[in-house]
Amino acid sequence: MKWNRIVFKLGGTIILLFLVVLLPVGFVIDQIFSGLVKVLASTEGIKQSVQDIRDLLVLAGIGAFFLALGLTFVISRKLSNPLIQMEEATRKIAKGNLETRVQVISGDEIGSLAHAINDLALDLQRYRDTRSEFLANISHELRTPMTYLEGYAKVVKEGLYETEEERNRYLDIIHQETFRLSHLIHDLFELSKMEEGKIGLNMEWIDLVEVIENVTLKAELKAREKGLEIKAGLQRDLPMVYADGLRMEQIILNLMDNAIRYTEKGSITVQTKRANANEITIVIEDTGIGIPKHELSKIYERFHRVEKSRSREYGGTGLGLAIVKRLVELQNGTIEVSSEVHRGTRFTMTFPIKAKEGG
Amino acid sequence: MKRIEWVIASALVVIGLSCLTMSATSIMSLNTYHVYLSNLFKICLWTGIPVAIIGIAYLIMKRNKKD
Repeated sequence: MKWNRIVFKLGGTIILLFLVVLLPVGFVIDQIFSGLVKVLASTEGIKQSVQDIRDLLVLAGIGAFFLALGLTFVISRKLSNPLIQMEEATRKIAKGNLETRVQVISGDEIGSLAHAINDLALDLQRYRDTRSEFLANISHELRTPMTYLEGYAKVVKEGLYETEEERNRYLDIIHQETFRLSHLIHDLFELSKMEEGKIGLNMEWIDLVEVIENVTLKAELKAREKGLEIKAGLQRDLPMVYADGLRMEQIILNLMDNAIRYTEKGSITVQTKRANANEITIVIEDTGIGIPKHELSKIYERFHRVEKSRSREYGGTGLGLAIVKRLVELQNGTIEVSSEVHRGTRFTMTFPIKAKEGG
Repeated sequence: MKRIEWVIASALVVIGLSCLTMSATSIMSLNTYHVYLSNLFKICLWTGIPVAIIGIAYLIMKRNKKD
């Protein structure tokens, strides 16, 4: 077989074709076979070119793969970096390092998550600080009556008194301190139940005027002992309020107890009135020693006392107002205070009137 | 990102671009070192320009947001 080279000229370009295919061309003239031309050309060149292109495509594929790998590596690191930072921060927070904060860079979902972690750390920090302060306060508050009890019980036990009257005075102190201690424990229990949300309110339609009259009767004796007058200015046609009657009584009694405790002369005024179409206001006002302005924001804190040095003289557990505030809030109310030193203090509580269901 | 990670990422990108350029240069049957480098430079340039424009725009937007 002889190799043939066919030369074409197309648009000035010379194209060479090597064909290995046999191209038989027959010549038939007047039904008589006259001859045959066979053209043969090699396809090796084309095969080589195809192979070359295939190799180059593989090379391009490898190049694209490396390029994509490099870019993906950078993007993935950039995306995962904030998450790694957050993981490290949360681990530090879990170990107790609550001052740790995540650097917030973006304003997207990642940034929002970082904000949430920072808020969580802040809350935990506040909770830890409050808990430490609470434990310090509670140990102090418990230690003081215990010291009294221990000391006076020892005096009585060892007979270190001269007269029967002196012994009775010591026993009186022991009795007062025991009462104070049990009151403190009761208040603490109430407060912890409220903070854990375990307190159950018996919500019903109550008449606030009736509640206030009951409390006034209870507080009157104590007020009279100190020579104080209780004035009640109660609006009679007030609508019923949906609240827990006993808790409402506790709130008003606590505030009146406080008013009596810190008032030496003058009067305690209790008022109820309709603030607007949806709310009822209760005002308890005294003419007592008053609270300095800078202390007003702290009075609802547990164990906070304005008169620290004279706290034993005035009595109380230091938890009354904390309980009042929580009870008011649990019943969807608000409480505000205004005071002037040596002029008196005024507590204003507002409770919503809810429409009676079914009528 | 640490420096070593940047080096790894850059190496991968450079290898990838070199392979692509080599492939493109060879397919044009111009297998010279000079052409190869010239193509590599062109590819880097035309890839780099849009990246640089997007990057500058992003930085400007970020600065405006901060202000």
